[in-house]
Amino acid sequence: MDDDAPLLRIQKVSKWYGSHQVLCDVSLDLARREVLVILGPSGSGKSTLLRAIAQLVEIDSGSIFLEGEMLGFRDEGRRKLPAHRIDAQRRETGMVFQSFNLFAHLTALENITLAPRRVLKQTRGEAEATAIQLLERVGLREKAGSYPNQLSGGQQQRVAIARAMAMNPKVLLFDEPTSALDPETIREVLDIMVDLAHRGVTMIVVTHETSFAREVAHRVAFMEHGRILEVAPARAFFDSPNHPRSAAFLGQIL
Amino acid sequence: MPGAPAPALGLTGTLALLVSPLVLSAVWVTIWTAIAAQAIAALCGVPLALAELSSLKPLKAVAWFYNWLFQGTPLLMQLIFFWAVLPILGLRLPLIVAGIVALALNEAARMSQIIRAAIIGVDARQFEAARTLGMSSWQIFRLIIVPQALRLMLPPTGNELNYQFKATSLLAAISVVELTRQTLNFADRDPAHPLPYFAVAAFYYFAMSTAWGLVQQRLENRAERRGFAES
Repeated sequence: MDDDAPLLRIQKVSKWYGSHQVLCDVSLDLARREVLVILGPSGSGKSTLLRAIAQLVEIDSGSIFLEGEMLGFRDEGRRKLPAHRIDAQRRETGMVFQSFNLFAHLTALENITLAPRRVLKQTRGEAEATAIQLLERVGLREKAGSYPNQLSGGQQQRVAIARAMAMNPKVLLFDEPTSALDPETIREVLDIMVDLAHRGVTMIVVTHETSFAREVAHRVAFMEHGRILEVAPARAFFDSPNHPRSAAFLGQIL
Repeated sequence: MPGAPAPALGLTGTLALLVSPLVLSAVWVTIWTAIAAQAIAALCGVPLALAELSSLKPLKAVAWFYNWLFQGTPLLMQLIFFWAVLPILGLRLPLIVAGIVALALNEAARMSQIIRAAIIGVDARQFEAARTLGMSSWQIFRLIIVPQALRLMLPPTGNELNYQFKATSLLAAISVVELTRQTLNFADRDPAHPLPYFAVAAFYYFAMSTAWGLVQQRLENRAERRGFAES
Protein backbone atom coordinates (compact mmCIF):
# COMPACT_ATOMS: atom_id res chain seq x y z
CA MET A 1 0.00 0.00 0.00
CA ASP A 2 1.70 3.22 -1.09
CA ASP A 3 1.57 6.21 1.18
CA ASP A 4 -0.19 8.48 -1.31
CA ALA A 5 -3.27 6.28 -1.57
CA PRO A 6 -6.09 7.61 0.54
CA LEU A 7 -6.44 6.06 3.99
CA LEU A 8 -10.21 6.14 3.68
CA ARG A 9 -12.15 6.16 0.45
CA ILE A 10 -15.90 6.68 0.42
CA GLN A 11 -17.49 5.93 -2.93
CA LYS A 12 -21.05 6.84 -3.88
CA VAL A 13 -22.49 5.81 -0.56
CA SER A 14 -26.25 5.93 -0.11
CA LYS A 15 -28.41 5.14 2.89
CA TRP A 16 -32.17 5.15 3.28
CA TYR A 17 -34.29 5.09 6.42
CA GLY A 18 -37.52 3.76 4.96
CA SER A 19 -38.37 6.09 2.09
CA HIS A 20 -36.13 8.88 3.40
CA GLN A 21 -32.69 9.02 1.86
CA VAL A 22 -30.19 10.24 4.47
CA LEU A 23 -27.05 9.80 2.37
CA CYS A 24 -27.09 10.46 -1.37
CA ASP A 25 -24.12 9.24 -3.40
CA VAL A 26 -21.58 10.54 -0.92
CA SER A 27 -17.98 10.30 -2.10
CA LEU A 28 -14.97 11.47 -0.15
CA ASP A 29 -11.28 10.61 0.24
CA LEU A 30 -9.32 11.08 3.42
CA ALA A 31 -5.53 11.17 3.49
CA ARG A 32 -3.37 9.75 6.25
CA ARG A 33 -2.91 12.27 9.09
CA GLU A 34 -5.62 14.47 7.67
CA VAL A 35 -8.12 16.33 9.85
CA LEU A 36 -11.45 16.80 8.10
CA VAL A 37 -14.29 18.78 9.65
CA ILE A 38 -17.83 18.19 8.44
CA LEU A 39 -20.21 21.10 8.83
CA GLY A 40 -23.88 21.27 8.01
CA PRO A 41 -27.32 21.79 9.48
CA SER A 42 -28.82 19.09 11.68
CA GLY A 43 -30.40 16.27 9.74
CA SER A 44 -27.96 16.71 6.88
CA GLY A 45 -26.55 13.18 7.24
CA LYS A 46 -23.23 14.06 8.95
CA SER A 47 -23.69 11.67 11.84
CA THR A 48 -25.02 8.92 9.60
CA LEU A 49 -21.90 9.21 7.45
CA LEU A 50 -19.67 8.73 10.53
CA ARG A 51 -21.84 5.83 11.69
CA ALA A 52 -21.54 4.24 8.28
CA ILE A 53 -17.74 4.45 8.45
CA ALA A 54 -17.82 2.96 11.98
CA GLN A 55 -20.20 0.27 10.66
CA LEU A 56 -22.89 1.13 13.18
CA VAL A 57 -25.29 1.47 10.26
CA GLU A 58 -25.22 -0.61 7.10
CA ILE A 59 -25.07 1.32 3.87
CA ASP A 60 -27.51 0.48 1.08
CA SER A 61 -25.21 1.15 -1.86
CA GLY A 62 -21.71 2.36 -2.59
CA SER A 63 -18.59 1.27 -0.76
CA ILE A 64 -16.17 2.41 1.89
CA PHE A 65 -12.53 1.33 1.81
CA LEU A 66 -10.07 1.61 4.68
CA GLU A 67 -6.49 1.15 3.46
CA GLY A 68 -7.94 -0.44 0.34
CA GLU A 69 -10.04 -2.99 2.23
CA MET A 70 -13.78 -2.83 1.66
CA LEU A 71 -15.69 -2.35 4.90
CA GLY A 72 -18.58 -4.69 5.73
CA PHE A 73 -18.79 -6.53 2.44
CA ARG A 74 -16.83 -9.19 0.63
CA ASP A 75 -17.09 -7.58 -2.78
CA GLU A 76 -19.11 -5.26 -4.94
CA GLY A 77 -21.76 -7.98 -5.08
CA ARG A 78 -22.65 -6.87 -1.53
CA ARG A 79 -22.15 -10.23 0.11
CA LYS A 80 -21.71 -9.36 3.78
CA LEU A 81 -18.55 -10.25 5.66
CA PRO A 82 -18.94 -12.66 8.59
CA ALA A 83 -19.52 -10.99 11.96
CA HIS A 84 -16.00 -11.61 13.28
CA ARG A 85 -14.46 -9.91 10.24
CA ILE A 86 -16.69 -6.89 10.72
CA ASP A 87 -15.77 -6.79 14.44
CA ALA A 88 -12.11 -6.82 13.42
CA GLN A 89 -12.68 -3.95 10.97
CA ARG A 90 -14.48 -1.91 13.63
CA ARG A 91 -11.31 -1.90 15.77
CA GLU A 92 -9.63 0.22 13.12
CA THR A 93 -12.19 3.02 13.32
CA GLY A 94 -12.52 4.77 16.67
CA MET A 95 -15.59 6.76 17.58
CA VAL A 96 -16.28 9.53 20.08
CA PHE A 97 -19.96 10.17 20.71
CA GLN A 98 -21.93 13.28 21.54
CA SER A 99 -23.22 11.59 24.72
CA PHE A 100 -19.79 10.13 25.70
CA ASN A 101 -21.25 6.63 26.24
CA LEU A 102 -18.69 5.56 28.81
CA PHE A 103 -19.47 2.14 30.27
CA ALA A 104 -21.45 3.09 33.37
CA HIS A 105 -20.36 0.11 35.49
CA LEU A 106 -16.63 0.58 34.91
CA THR A 107 -14.10 3.10 36.23
CA ALA A 108 -12.33 5.50 33.89
CA LEU A 109 -9.31 3.17 33.84
CA GLU A 110 -11.43 0.07 33.20
CA ASN A 111 -13.31 1.87 30.42
CA ILE A 112 -9.99 2.40 28.66
CA THR A 113 -8.46 -1.04 29.30
CA LEU A 114 -11.53 -3.21 28.56
CA ALA A 115 -11.23 -3.44 24.79
CA PRO A 116 -7.41 -3.62 24.63
CA ARG A 117 -7.54 -6.53 27.06
CA ARG A 118 -10.53 -8.38 25.63
CA VAL A 119 -10.18 -7.55 21.94
CA LEU A 120 -6.43 -7.01 21.45
CA LYS A 121 -5.62 -9.60 24.16
CA GLN A 122 -3.17 -7.31 25.93
CA THR A 123 -2.18 -8.25 29.45
CA ARG A 124 -3.67 -6.25 32.26
CA GLY A 125 -0.27 -4.65 32.91
CA GLU A 126 0.22 -3.57 29.29
CA ALA A 127 -3.29 -2.24 28.97
CA GLU A 128 -3.10 -0.31 32.23
CA ALA A 129 0.28 1.21 31.40
CA THR A 130 -1.12 2.53 28.12
CA ALA A 131 -4.31 3.67 29.80
CA ILE A 132 -2.44 5.63 32.46
CA GLN A 133 -0.40 7.35 29.75
CA LEU A 134 -3.55 8.25 27.86
CA LEU A 135 -5.25 9.50 31.04
CA GLU A 136 -2.21 11.67 31.67
CA ARG A 137 -2.41 13.02 28.15
CA VAL A 138 -6.05 14.05 28.67
CA GLY A 139 -5.17 15.45 32.11
CA LEU A 140 -7.18 12.96 34.16
CA ARG A 141 -4.52 10.74 35.71
CA GLU A 142 -6.03 11.26 39.17
CA LYS A 143 -9.52 10.22 37.97
CA ALA A 144 -8.46 6.68 37.00
CA GLY A 145 -10.58 5.11 39.73
CA SER A 146 -13.67 7.30 39.23
CA TYR A 147 -16.92 6.01 37.77
CA PRO A 148 -18.50 7.95 34.90
CA ASN A 149 -21.27 9.38 37.11
CA GLN A 150 -18.57 10.91 39.32
CA LEU A 151 -17.07 12.83 36.38
CA SER A 152 -18.21 16.04 34.70
CA GLY A 153 -19.32 15.93 31.07
CA GLY A 154 -16.02 17.32 29.86
CA GLN A 155 -14.08 14.79 31.92
CA GLN A 156 -16.23 11.93 30.62
CA GLN A 157 -15.61 13.03 27.05
CA ARG A 158 -11.85 13.18 27.67
CA VAL A 159 -11.94 9.64 29.04
CA ALA A 160 -14.00 8.59 26.01
CA ILE A 161 -11.31 10.01 23.72
CA ALA A 162 -8.64 8.11 25.67
CA ARG A 163 -10.75 4.94 25.39
CA ALA A 164 -10.96 5.29 21.62
CA MET A 165 -7.22 6.08 21.34
CA ALA A 166 -6.29 2.99 23.37
CA MET A 167 -7.31 0.83 20.41
CA ASN A 168 -4.89 2.80 18.24
CA PRO A 169 -7.45 3.24 15.45
CA LYS A 170 -6.46 4.23 11.92
CA VAL A 171 -9.07 6.96 11.91
CA LEU A 172 -10.87 8.63 14.81
CA LEU A 173 -14.45 9.78 14.23
CA PHE A 174 -15.95 12.54 16.39
CA ASP A 175 -19.73 12.89 16.34
CA GLU A 176 -20.50 16.36 17.75
CA PRO A 177 -18.16 15.71 20.70
CA THR A 178 -18.85 19.03 22.44
CA SER A 179 -22.56 19.52 21.71
CA ALA A 180 -23.67 18.04 25.05
CA LEU A 181 -21.16 20.04 27.09
CA ASP A 182 -21.44 23.21 29.15
CA PRO A 183 -19.79 26.14 27.37
CA GLU A 184 -17.02 26.34 29.97
CA THR A 185 -15.95 22.71 29.46
CA ILE A 186 -16.04 22.71 25.65
CA ARG A 187 -12.52 24.14 25.50
CA GLU A 188 -10.96 21.36 27.61
CA VAL A 189 -12.23 18.79 25.10
CA LEU A 190 -11.27 20.84 22.06
CA ASP A 191 -7.76 21.26 23.47
CA ILE A 192 -7.36 17.47 23.61
CA MET A 193 -8.58 17.19 20.03
CA VAL A 194 -6.17 19.90 18.86
CA ASP A 195 -3.36 18.02 20.57
CA LEU A 196 -4.34 14.79 18.77
CA ALA A 197 -4.46 16.63 15.46
CA HIS A 198 -0.94 17.98 16.01
CA ARG A 199 0.23 14.45 16.79
CA GLY A 200 -0.93 13.38 13.35
CA VAL A 201 -4.03 11.42 14.29
CA THR A 202 -6.32 11.04 11.28
CA MET A 203 -9.69 12.50 12.24
CA ILE A 204 -13.13 13.23 10.87
CA VAL A 205 -14.95 15.66 13.11
CA VAL A 206 -18.62 16.54 12.92
CA THR A 207 -18.94 19.74 14.92
CA HIS A 208 -20.39 23.21 15.04
CA GLU A 209 -17.17 24.54 16.57
CA THR A 210 -15.83 26.62 13.69
CA SER A 211 -12.93 27.77 15.87
CA PHE A 212 -11.70 24.19 15.97
CA ALA A 213 -12.17 23.87 12.22
CA ARG A 214 -10.17 27.04 11.55
CA GLU A 215 -7.46 26.02 14.00
CA VAL A 216 -6.64 22.47 12.89
CA ALA A 217 -8.80 21.25 10.00
CA HIS A 218 -7.00 20.62 6.76
CA ARG A 219 -10.23 20.50 4.84
CA VAL A 220 -13.86 21.26 5.55
CA ALA A 221 -16.80 19.43 3.99
CA PHE A 222 -20.25 20.98 3.93
CA MET A 223 -23.25 18.63 3.93
CA GLU A 224 -26.94 19.25 3.43
CA HIS A 225 -29.82 16.87 2.69
CA GLY A 226 -27.52 13.87 2.60
CA ARG A 227 -25.13 15.34 0.04
CA ILE A 228 -21.67 16.79 0.29
CA LEU A 229 -22.10 20.15 -1.41
CA GLU A 230 -18.55 21.42 -1.00
CA VAL A 231 -15.17 20.17 0.15
CA ALA A 232 -12.43 22.78 0.40
CA PRO A 233 -9.24 23.56 2.30
CA ALA A 234 -10.31 25.06 5.64
CA ARG A 235 -9.00 28.54 5.03
CA ALA A 236 -10.54 28.78 1.58
CA PHE A 237 -13.84 27.42 2.88
CA PHE A 238 -14.18 30.01 5.62
CA ASP A 239 -12.82 32.92 3.56
CA SER A 240 -14.81 32.32 0.40
CA PRO A 241 -17.17 29.35 0.36
CA ASN A 242 -18.00 28.26 -3.16
CA HIS A 243 -21.46 26.86 -2.75
CA PRO A 244 -24.25 29.34 -1.99
CA ARG A 245 -25.65 26.94 0.64
CA SER A 246 -22.35 26.79 2.54
CA ALA A 247 -22.08 30.56 2.39
CA ALA A 248 -25.61 30.88 3.78
CA PHE A 249 -24.83 28.34 6.53
CA LEU A 250 -21.65 30.16 7.53
CA GLY A 251 -23.58 33.38 7.58
CA GLN A 252 -25.97 31.86 10.10
CA ILE A 253 -23.49 30.33 12.52
CA LEU A 254 -20.66 32.88 12.49
CA MET B 1 -56.97 -33.77 77.40
CA PRO B 2 -60.31 -33.23 79.23
CA GLY B 3 -60.90 -30.52 81.84
CA ALA B 4 -60.77 -26.74 81.88
CA PRO B 5 -59.15 -25.04 78.86
CA ALA B 6 -55.54 -24.05 79.36
CA PRO B 7 -55.00 -20.40 80.30
CA ALA B 8 -53.84 -17.99 77.59
CA LEU B 9 -50.12 -17.59 77.09
CA GLY B 10 -48.94 -14.69 79.17
CA LEU B 11 -46.12 -12.35 78.24
CA THR B 12 -43.45 -14.77 79.42
CA GLY B 13 -45.23 -17.62 77.65
CA THR B 14 -45.29 -15.61 74.42
CA LEU B 15 -41.64 -14.67 74.75
CA ALA B 16 -40.78 -18.32 75.38
CA LEU B 17 -42.76 -19.21 72.24
CA LEU B 18 -40.81 -16.60 70.27
CA VAL B 19 -37.55 -18.50 70.83
CA SER B 20 -38.97 -22.02 71.07
CA PRO B 21 -37.21 -24.59 68.85
CA LEU B 22 -40.43 -25.39 66.98
CA VAL B 23 -40.96 -21.75 66.00
CA LEU B 24 -37.31 -21.12 65.17
CA SER B 25 -37.10 -24.17 62.97
CA ALA B 26 -40.33 -23.12 61.20
CA VAL B 27 -38.85 -19.66 60.63
CA TRP B 28 -35.74 -21.26 59.22
CA VAL B 29 -37.84 -23.37 56.80
CA THR B 30 -39.62 -20.20 55.68
CA ILE B 31 -36.32 -18.39 55.07
CA TRP B 32 -34.54 -21.11 53.17
CA THR B 33 -37.49 -22.18 51.04
CA ALA B 34 -38.07 -18.55 50.05
CA ILE B 35 -34.42 -18.06 49.11
CA ALA B 36 -34.19 -21.40 47.31
CA ALA B 37 -37.37 -20.73 45.34
CA GLN B 38 -36.21 -17.22 44.44
CA ALA B 39 -32.76 -18.44 43.36
CA ILE B 40 -34.17 -21.21 41.18
CA ALA B 41 -36.68 -18.75 39.73
CA ALA B 42 -33.92 -16.30 38.83
CA LEU B 43 -31.98 -19.07 37.06
CA CYS B 44 -35.06 -20.30 35.18
CA GLY B 45 -35.96 -16.71 34.34
CA VAL B 46 -32.79 -16.23 32.27
CA PRO B 47 -33.57 -18.69 29.44
CA LEU B 48 -37.20 -17.57 29.52
CA ALA B 49 -36.20 -13.91 29.16
CA LEU B 50 -33.75 -14.74 26.36
CA ALA B 51 -36.48 -16.75 24.62
CA GLU B 52 -38.84 -13.78 24.87
CA LEU B 53 -36.18 -11.48 23.43
CA SER B 54 -35.25 -13.95 20.72
CA SER B 55 -36.23 -13.33 17.15
CA LEU B 56 -37.10 -17.02 16.74
CA LYS B 57 -40.88 -17.34 16.77
CA PRO B 58 -41.04 -20.85 18.33
CA LEU B 59 -38.86 -19.76 21.27
CA LYS B 60 -40.98 -16.66 21.79
CA ALA B 61 -44.09 -18.85 21.73
CA VAL B 62 -42.71 -21.24 24.36
CA ALA B 63 -41.89 -18.33 26.69
CA TRP B 64 -45.28 -16.76 26.08
CA PHE B 65 -47.05 -20.04 26.85
CA TYR B 66 -45.05 -20.53 30.03
CA ASN B 67 -45.92 -17.09 31.35
CA TRP B 68 -49.55 -17.47 30.29
CA LEU B 69 -49.78 -20.76 32.15
CA PHE B 70 -48.11 -19.71 35.39
CA GLN B 71 -49.52 -16.22 35.59
CA GLY B 72 -53.02 -17.24 34.58
CA THR B 73 -53.64 -19.61 37.49
CA PRO B 74 -53.41 -19.06 41.28
CA LEU B 75 -50.17 -19.95 43.02
CA LEU B 76 -52.14 -22.02 45.55
CA MET B 77 -53.59 -24.15 42.75
CA GLN B 78 -50.13 -24.66 41.30
CA LEU B 79 -48.83 -25.80 44.70
CA ILE B 80 -51.67 -28.28 45.02
CA PHE B 81 -51.05 -29.47 41.48
CA PHE B 82 -47.41 -30.27 42.21
CA TRP B 83 -48.32 -31.86 45.54
CA ALA B 84 -51.43 -33.85 44.58
CA VAL B 85 -51.53 -34.29 40.83
CA LEU B 86 -47.92 -35.07 39.95
CA PRO B 87 -47.88 -38.25 42.12
CA ILE B 88 -50.96 -39.45 40.23
CA LEU B 89 -49.06 -38.87 37.01
CA GLY B 90 -46.25 -40.98 38.45
CA LEU B 91 -43.83 -38.27 39.60
CA ARG B 92 -43.31 -38.44 43.35
CA LEU B 93 -41.45 -35.49 44.78
CA PRO B 94 -40.67 -35.05 48.46
CA LEU B 95 -43.19 -32.62 49.95
CA ILE B 96 -40.79 -29.74 50.43
CA VAL B 97 -39.30 -30.20 46.95
CA ALA B 98 -42.74 -30.12 45.34
CA GLY B 99 -43.44 -26.93 47.28
CA ILE B 100 -40.22 -25.19 46.31
CA VAL B 101 -40.54 -26.24 42.67
CA ALA B 102 -44.06 -24.81 42.51
CA LEU B 103 -43.00 -21.53 44.12
CA ALA B 104 -39.97 -21.32 41.85
CA LEU B 105 -41.74 -22.07 38.57
CA ASN B 106 -44.44 -19.55 39.43
CA GLU B 107 -41.84 -16.94 40.31
CA ALA B 108 -39.80 -17.72 37.17
CA ALA B 109 -42.57 -16.19 35.07
CA ARG B 110 -42.20 -12.87 36.92
CA MET B 111 -38.39 -13.10 36.97
CA SER B 112 -38.34 -13.53 33.20
CA GLN B 113 -40.21 -10.23 32.89
CA ILE B 114 -37.77 -8.52 35.26
CA ILE B 115 -34.72 -9.91 33.44
CA ARG B 116 -36.15 -9.03 30.05
CA ALA B 117 -36.90 -5.47 31.17
CA ALA B 118 -33.39 -5.13 32.62
CA ILE B 119 -31.72 -6.30 29.41
CA ILE B 120 -33.85 -3.94 27.33
CA GLY B 121 -33.21 -1.23 29.92
CA VAL B 122 -29.45 -1.12 29.27
CA ASP B 123 -28.87 1.99 27.17
CA ALA B 124 -28.39 0.98 23.51
CA ARG B 125 -25.59 3.53 23.28
CA GLN B 126 -23.52 1.38 25.66
CA PHE B 127 -23.83 -1.37 23.08
CA GLU B 128 -22.79 0.96 20.25
CA ALA B 129 -19.76 2.22 22.15
CA ALA B 130 -18.61 -1.37 22.68
CA ARG B 131 -19.24 -2.12 18.99
CA THR B 132 -16.93 0.69 17.87
CA LEU B 133 -14.18 -0.81 20.03
CA GLY B 134 -14.42 -4.03 18.03
CA MET B 135 -16.00 -6.16 20.73
CA SER B 136 -17.97 -9.19 19.56
CA SER B 137 -21.69 -9.53 20.31
CA TRP B 138 -20.98 -12.20 22.90
CA GLN B 139 -18.32 -10.05 24.61
CA ILE B 140 -20.70 -7.10 24.66
CA PHE B 141 -23.44 -9.23 26.16
CA ARG B 142 -21.15 -10.70 28.80
CA LEU B 143 -19.04 -7.66 29.70
CA ILE B 144 -21.45 -4.75 29.20
CA ILE B 145 -25.09 -5.86 29.08
CA VAL B 146 -25.10 -8.50 31.84
CA PRO B 147 -23.31 -6.46 34.53
CA GLN B 148 -25.50 -3.44 33.86
CA ALA B 149 -28.70 -5.50 33.65
CA LEU B 150 -27.86 -7.13 36.99
CA ARG B 151 -27.79 -3.72 38.61
CA LEU B 152 -31.10 -2.77 37.00
CA MET B 153 -32.57 -6.06 38.22
CA LEU B 154 -31.52 -5.55 41.82
CA PRO B 155 -34.48 -3.49 43.12
CA PRO B 156 -37.31 -5.51 41.52
CA THR B 157 -35.64 -8.84 42.33
CA GLY B 158 -35.18 -7.78 45.94
CA ASN B 159 -38.88 -6.96 46.09
CA GLU B 160 -39.69 -10.41 44.71
CA LEU B 161 -37.64 -12.11 47.43
CA ASN B 162 -39.45 -10.01 49.99
CA TYR B 163 -42.75 -11.20 48.51
CA GLN B 164 -41.44 -14.78 48.52
CA PHE B 165 -41.00 -14.79 52.32
CA LYS B 166 -44.75 -14.31 52.55
CA ALA B 167 -45.64 -16.53 49.57
CA THR B 168 -44.10 -19.50 51.38
CA SER B 169 -47.08 -19.32 53.79
CA LEU B 170 -49.09 -21.06 51.06
CA LEU B 171 -46.89 -24.12 51.65
CA ALA B 172 -49.03 -24.54 54.78
CA ALA B 173 -51.77 -25.81 52.48
CA ILE B 174 -49.67 -28.82 51.49
CA SER B 175 -48.57 -29.27 55.13
CA VAL B 176 -44.96 -28.19 54.85
CA VAL B 177 -44.16 -27.08 58.39
CA GLU B 178 -43.08 -23.53 57.77
CA LEU B 179 -44.04 -20.58 59.92
CA THR B 180 -47.73 -20.40 58.98
CA ARG B 181 -48.31 -24.16 59.25
CA GLN B 182 -46.59 -24.22 62.63
CA THR B 183 -48.72 -21.31 63.81
CA LEU B 184 -51.91 -23.02 62.65
CA ASN B 185 -50.83 -26.20 64.42
CA PHE B 186 -50.36 -24.28 67.68
CA ALA B 187 -53.68 -22.50 67.24
CA ASP B 188 -55.49 -25.76 66.57
CA ARG B 189 -54.31 -27.11 69.89
CA ASP B 190 -55.25 -23.94 71.78
CA PRO B 191 -58.33 -22.70 69.88
CA ALA B 192 -59.48 -20.42 72.70
CA HIS B 193 -56.34 -18.25 72.61
CA PRO B 194 -54.89 -18.10 69.08
CA LEU B 195 -53.66 -14.52 69.32
CA PRO B 196 -50.15 -15.04 70.79
CA TYR B 197 -49.30 -17.60 68.11
CA PHE B 198 -50.34 -15.31 65.29
CA ALA B 199 -48.56 -12.39 66.96
CA VAL B 200 -45.32 -14.41 66.99
CA ALA B 201 -45.78 -15.35 63.33
CA ALA B 202 -46.46 -11.73 62.41
CA PHE B 203 -43.37 -10.66 64.32
CA TYR B 204 -41.17 -13.01 62.29
CA TYR B 205 -42.73 -12.10 58.93
CA PHE B 206 -42.20 -8.40 59.69
CA ALA B 207 -38.66 -9.15 60.87
CA MET B 208 -37.74 -11.02 57.67
CA SER B 209 -39.28 -8.37 55.49
CA THR B 210 -37.64 -5.50 57.34
CA ALA B 211 -34.23 -7.14 57.62
CA TRP B 212 -34.17 -7.95 53.91
CA GLY B 213 -35.37 -4.43 53.13
CA LEU B 214 -32.31 -3.06 54.94
CA VAL B 215 -29.93 -5.45 53.16
CA GLN B 216 -31.47 -4.53 49.82
CA GLN B 217 -31.09 -0.82 50.56
CA ARG B 218 -27.39 -1.35 51.29
CA LEU B 219 -26.89 -3.32 48.08
CA GLU B 220 -28.62 -0.63 46.05
CA ASN B 221 -26.57 2.13 47.67
CA ARG B 222 -23.42 0.22 46.92
CA ALA B 223 -24.41 -0.23 43.26
CA GLU B 224 -25.12 3.48 43.06
CA ARG B 225 -21.71 4.39 44.42
CA ARG B 226 -20.21 2.13 41.80
CA GLY B 227 -21.47 4.11 38.89
CA PHE B 228 -25.17 3.43 39.02
CA ALA B 229 -27.45 6.31 39.67
CA GLU B 230 -31.17 5.60 39.47
CA SER B 231 -32.31 7.24 36.31
